[in-house]
Amino acid sequence: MNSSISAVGRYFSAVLVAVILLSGCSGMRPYPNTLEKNLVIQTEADSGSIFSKVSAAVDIFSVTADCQTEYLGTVDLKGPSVKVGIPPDQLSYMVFVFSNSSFLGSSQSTISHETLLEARRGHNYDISVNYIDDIYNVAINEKDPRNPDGRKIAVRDISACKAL
Amino acid sequence: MKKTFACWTVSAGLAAVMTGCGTMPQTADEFRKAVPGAMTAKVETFEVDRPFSDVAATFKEKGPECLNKTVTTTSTTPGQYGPVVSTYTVTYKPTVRVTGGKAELHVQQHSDNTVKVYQEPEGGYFLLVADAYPVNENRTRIDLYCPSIGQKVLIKAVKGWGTGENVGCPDLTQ
Repeated sequence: MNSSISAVGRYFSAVLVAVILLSGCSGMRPYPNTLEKNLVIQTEADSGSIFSKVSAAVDIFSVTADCQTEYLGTVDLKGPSVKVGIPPDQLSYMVFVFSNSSFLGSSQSTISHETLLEARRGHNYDISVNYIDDIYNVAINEKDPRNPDGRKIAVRDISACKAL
Repeated sequence: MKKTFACWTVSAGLAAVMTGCGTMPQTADEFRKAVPGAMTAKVETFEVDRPFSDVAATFKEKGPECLNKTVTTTSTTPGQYGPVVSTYTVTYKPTVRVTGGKAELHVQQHSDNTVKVYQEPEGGYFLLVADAYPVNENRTRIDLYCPSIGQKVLIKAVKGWGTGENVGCPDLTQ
């Protein structure tokens, strides 16, 4: 019994070490998502073909005063709705990544859609992420209790940071 | 795989367009003149129930947002001695010009993976030109100069920007 537990323990330890090493090697890590949730990301992804599959994720970066970005982590956009918390009153850089993999010919491609976002304190944001039949769209709406329709947030490239 | 084939086809098609003229279009105007009657390019004209100002605004918003991109596609195919990995990188350059009575969208593409038989204009070979004109207060005509083979996703997206029914971005890797 003791030897079985020991063997199981060694097995899980090996798996854990492998996961840590692989995560470090790939450079990608899960976004901690420990802050108060101020984003609701609703995702719809359909490649339009039975021979391929598309998945979506968002890489989240903090932005320094001199417009340098620091990778914080990645949120897999699995499921129709995901809640995320980003720092309020600070610039964040969000890179929505669509990965398309074909079952025939083993091809894989990714295309990304980037935007700066400063989440105002006390406000919540609805983000609609769609990929349908090779056409994708990311729409950000700031919810405002005084305005039922909210306010559309325009996509801003990282180069816009210097103008802020 | 299909993207690589499409890109090679476009490049070959554009070369075919220009064979008669002996040169590659260096400007959008030259591209417009070269496309009619070309083997692998076409002019498509359609009208949309949208004011010209709305169509122009969509071109101005979506052109840079969706087409200022460098995309890399990687495919793995079986080879005689093992898997063969191919990587194809294309840089797109959109240009939008709006005057009182015309809105233009130019799309150029540059790739380091193609053999350049003809002189490449700055920004890359012209891939698509869309010209929008007001017909009346609520209607706009669009002339679309584009490849007749490949680039279906890009063409679908630009048409969507014209009609306003689908204003997303094309997955340029497809």
